[in-house]
Amino acid sequence: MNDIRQTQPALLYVDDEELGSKYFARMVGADYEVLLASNCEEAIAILQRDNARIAVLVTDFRLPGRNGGDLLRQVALEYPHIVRLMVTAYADIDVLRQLVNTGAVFRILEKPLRRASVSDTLQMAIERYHERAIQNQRLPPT
Amino acid sequence: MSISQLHTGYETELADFRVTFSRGGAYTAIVLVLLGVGLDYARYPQLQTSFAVARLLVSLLIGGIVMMLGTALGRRLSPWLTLSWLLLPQAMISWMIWQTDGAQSPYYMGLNLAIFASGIALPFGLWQNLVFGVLSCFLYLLACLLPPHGVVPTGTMTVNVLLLLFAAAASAVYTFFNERVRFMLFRLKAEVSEKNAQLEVNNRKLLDIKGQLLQQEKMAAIGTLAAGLLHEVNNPVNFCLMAIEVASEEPAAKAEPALLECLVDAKQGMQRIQHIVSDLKTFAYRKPGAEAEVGTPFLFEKALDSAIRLVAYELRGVAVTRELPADTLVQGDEAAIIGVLINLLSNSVLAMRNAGTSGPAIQISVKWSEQRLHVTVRDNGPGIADENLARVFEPFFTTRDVGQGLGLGLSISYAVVERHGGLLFAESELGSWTSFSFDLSRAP
Repeated sequence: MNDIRQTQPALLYVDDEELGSKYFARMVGADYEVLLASNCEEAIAILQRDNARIAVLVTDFRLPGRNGGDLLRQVALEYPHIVRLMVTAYADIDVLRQLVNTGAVFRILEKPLRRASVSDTLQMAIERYHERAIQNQRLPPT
Repeated sequence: MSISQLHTGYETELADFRVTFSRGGAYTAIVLVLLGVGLDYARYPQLQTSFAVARLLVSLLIGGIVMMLGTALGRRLSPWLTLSWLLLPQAMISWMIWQTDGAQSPYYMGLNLAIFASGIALPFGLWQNLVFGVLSCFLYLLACLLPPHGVVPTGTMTVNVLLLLFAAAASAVYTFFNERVRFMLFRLKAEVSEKNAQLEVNNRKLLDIKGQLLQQEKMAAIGTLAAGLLHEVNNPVNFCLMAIEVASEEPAAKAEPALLECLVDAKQGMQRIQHIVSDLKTFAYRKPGAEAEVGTPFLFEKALDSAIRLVAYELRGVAVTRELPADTLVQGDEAAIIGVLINLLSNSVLAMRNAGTSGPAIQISVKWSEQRLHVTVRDNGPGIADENLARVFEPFFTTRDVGQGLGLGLSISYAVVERHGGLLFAESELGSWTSFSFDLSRAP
């Protein structure tokens, strides 16, 4: 059990909707370990503790207090190795455009979340995470 | 209005006035000429018969001129015709003077009377009055000087001629001022009617602005509501759909077709809710500066889908047919155009429902023509009466009962289409059909 967990990259899912978190975890829980947070502060606390094993951050845009965009920007600065995804029902194009163009977000998942697209996107995110990890290992020239 | 324009208008109006006055004056002249038999009876009883014949003849001639005034030609020549009939009694009086005592005859008073009357009662110009006065004098002189009057009492004649000339001058001056007053009155009238027209235009503009403000407020309220709804509804819809998907993958569900069917139906319902909510999205994210939105490209077909979905409840039982070209990319404010479509569709449905149309149907046909997409929404409802058809776009015009709407819908739709450089127009045949059409420009 522990061995599998070690090799399985973990996801951090941030959503204030409890049932949203529950079913997200159920939907992808078979493939990934899912850590849950219901707001930015909780998310930051989890990241401080577990950032080494978290590969992907998935956050809702609308959160109580600081919004998801804010969290993504902070994570991009402090934990750049984590691939960042955003979930939104909000077609607030200006905010999204800015997030995408500053590189704060890797992909945007639109609500309602469908299993197929979530799996595909998560797979791409994990691949991206591995690519980065390899690049980082290569950084000091051999 | 410039002074020269005013003068033209004044002359036109005066033409009618002149004909009417001339006619009235002529009738008066006929009466007075005929009543003159009383004078003849008192002063020249021996000539009673021949004078009476002359009076009758002159009356008939004046009557003839009055008849000419009624024709188009007579209308144009009215000042000259007036002068002509005025000269007839003068000629008659002069003839009578010549026939009787010449300068000694008191009938010269009759000449004076006519000169005054023409100045006061007839819309004559200064020159016409002067000419009339001088001609009257000339006739009087002839009557005094022509044989058989051998010895002329120069003193009396001079006094009478001068009095005639004075009368002419006085009535000319009177005419001059009278004319000015008349013109001033006309100018005031013109100004008042111009101001009235301006007021009417302003009123209409204010009504339009009021309608637009109400519309903007309404749109803003819908926007706020839609944004809230979007968030509140979307989240539960989101996890319900996820839950249904997770449940569908459970082995128990896969093994049990009845359960799976329930899940599929539940999913379909959720998706429908999600569609409605995402249709509201167009309203929720409207930018305040609607002008900027007019240039945004969108697929008209999608807007139509949204509109039909949003009025789906009202459209129940109505056969909706659509005819669209493959490409419907236009530019404009999508939310506003959806609003126009909703307005047209719900008007149709309401009219058909109220009239109890059997087999209600709405036909939406969309065609490209000269780089513009022409949209027609046509129903087989009760139609619109001709006298109302022209007024349907007026703000606050409604044939519905009080409380059944402000009567703003179509006026706002009209303004929306106008803002898109198009035209919204209505056609109808009472008892058969109504159609509303508008056009949008192709996206660049």
